[in-house]
Amino acid sequence: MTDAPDPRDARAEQAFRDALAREADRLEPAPLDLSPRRRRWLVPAAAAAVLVLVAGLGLSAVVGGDDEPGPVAADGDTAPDLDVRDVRSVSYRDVTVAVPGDWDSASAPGSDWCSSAEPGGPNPFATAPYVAYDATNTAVAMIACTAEVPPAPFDQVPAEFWAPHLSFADLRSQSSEALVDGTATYRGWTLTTRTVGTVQLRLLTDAATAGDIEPILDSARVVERTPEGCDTTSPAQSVEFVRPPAFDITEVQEVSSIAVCQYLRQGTDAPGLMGSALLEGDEAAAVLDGIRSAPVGGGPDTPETCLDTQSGTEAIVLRLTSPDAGERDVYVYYDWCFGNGFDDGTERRELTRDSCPLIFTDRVILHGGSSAPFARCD
Amino acid sequence: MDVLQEPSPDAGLDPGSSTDFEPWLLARGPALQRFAHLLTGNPTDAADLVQEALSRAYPRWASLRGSDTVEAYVRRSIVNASISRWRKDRRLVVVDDPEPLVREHAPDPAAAHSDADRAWELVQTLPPQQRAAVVLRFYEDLAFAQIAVVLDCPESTARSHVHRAIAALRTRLESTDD
Repeated sequence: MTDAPDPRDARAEQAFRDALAREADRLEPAPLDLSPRRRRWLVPAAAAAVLVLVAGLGLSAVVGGDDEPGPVAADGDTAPDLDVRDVRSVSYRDVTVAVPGDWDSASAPGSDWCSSAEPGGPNPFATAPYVAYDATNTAVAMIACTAEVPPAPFDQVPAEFWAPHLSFADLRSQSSEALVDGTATYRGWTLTTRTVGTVQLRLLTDAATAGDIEPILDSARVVERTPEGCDTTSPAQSVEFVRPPAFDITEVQEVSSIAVCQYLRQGTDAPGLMGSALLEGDEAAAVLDGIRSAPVGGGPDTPETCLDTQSGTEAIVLRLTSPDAGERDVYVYYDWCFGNGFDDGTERRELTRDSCPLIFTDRVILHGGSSAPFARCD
Repeated sequence: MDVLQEPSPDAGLDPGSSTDFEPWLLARGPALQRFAHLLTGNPTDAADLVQEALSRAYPRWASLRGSDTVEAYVRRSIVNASISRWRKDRRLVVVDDPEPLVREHAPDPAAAHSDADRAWELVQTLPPQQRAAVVLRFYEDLAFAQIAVVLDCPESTARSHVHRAIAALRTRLESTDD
């Protein structure tokens, strides 16, 4: 094959050349200033801008965090018995709830839905019933989407992009709008809200899923440990970097399971569990092998690229259950420009491609973060 | 094929000694931003990508300059960053100001339905590595071997990216002729 174009393709090639030249000419290049003095300020400034954006989003919502949560459905130290044949459990903060097994996890469209869809156009969002991911750390474009949208308390997203789903709102968070518990209907859709523990469950159903309302909401329980084995409140939620009780992961020969527990680092005075998953068999063994073989020293870090007064917003606890070592916790930091790595309390190990991507599964997702660990973990 | 050597990690440089960095930046910055703009379709993102790529290149300036691989290194960094950003943007969308966004996306009536319009519409839908291959081929006029170096992929992959894009556009153009 040569580089000579096929004559039949000449028109297409010319079209590409014309289009790219035209678009390139339209750009007014911005001034680039990478002088040493400037460079030290650019990245912290960018990080600060992101923080302001996220904070601004929080303030744009109706603040309901001061409302006291309503009565909990039940108290208990352990998760309820869930019929795992037909349902799966999902956990958020201090609540575990059973959902139909075929309800997958997906991102619910947000107030910026029009950045990826337009009324009458293709639907880029989930169309089958799902459980919404925690959107706390998902940035939302600050744009005003204009279309006929449903009335409150329904999401401000056109109904054509809806699908039945369960979502969670942390009532202690200032970014969560507290709704009145109850039921609302709109064009054949029903939104049922119920507060359990520190969380408000919000279940949107259509006629086909109306029968799921009571089984789902009635299954909700306040727990201190999820069915996967995650504590709903963990020391890893600390704003500062903390270390787990020390052990040596290289001496762990085998694991029967690994609970993957993702936390919002907001302090330890309230449940901070964002999502959880359970790895077993070969998946768990692969994570153990990946961590054991990762270089000692932690990272990847790029400390020159961000504010050293901040320390990230998320952490993961890997709770290893081992026949020989019992239950051990490994802390994982992955979303900041320093402090990244696996920590068994004895050594910090580097996030590697052989280890990090394996822990982001099911309800535990990578929202973003510093580019170096993101490239390893995504 | 040219080989782009990854600079050694210890090839750091005291910023004060990079006397030819800023002249190079002044000369090449606009072209790199245009390249990044074609990858992202967004001028703000383009400037950010270039800034990020240059921030990575700067500490390695001595070794890059010495091996004459600055341009390819920075282009590769831009492409990689655009891929990472594209992955993130499936979940994260940041828009500074809706007003210019509306203007930028408004169609140009005079140019409606031109082949170039169809081509740009297609470019905007391509996955980032394929989009980069198309830009490098038809804007930068690079040979497939050079494209492969920048994209860090086999030459056959670079060739495939471009040919599939051409085939897709040809189909679109022929369908609009009907």
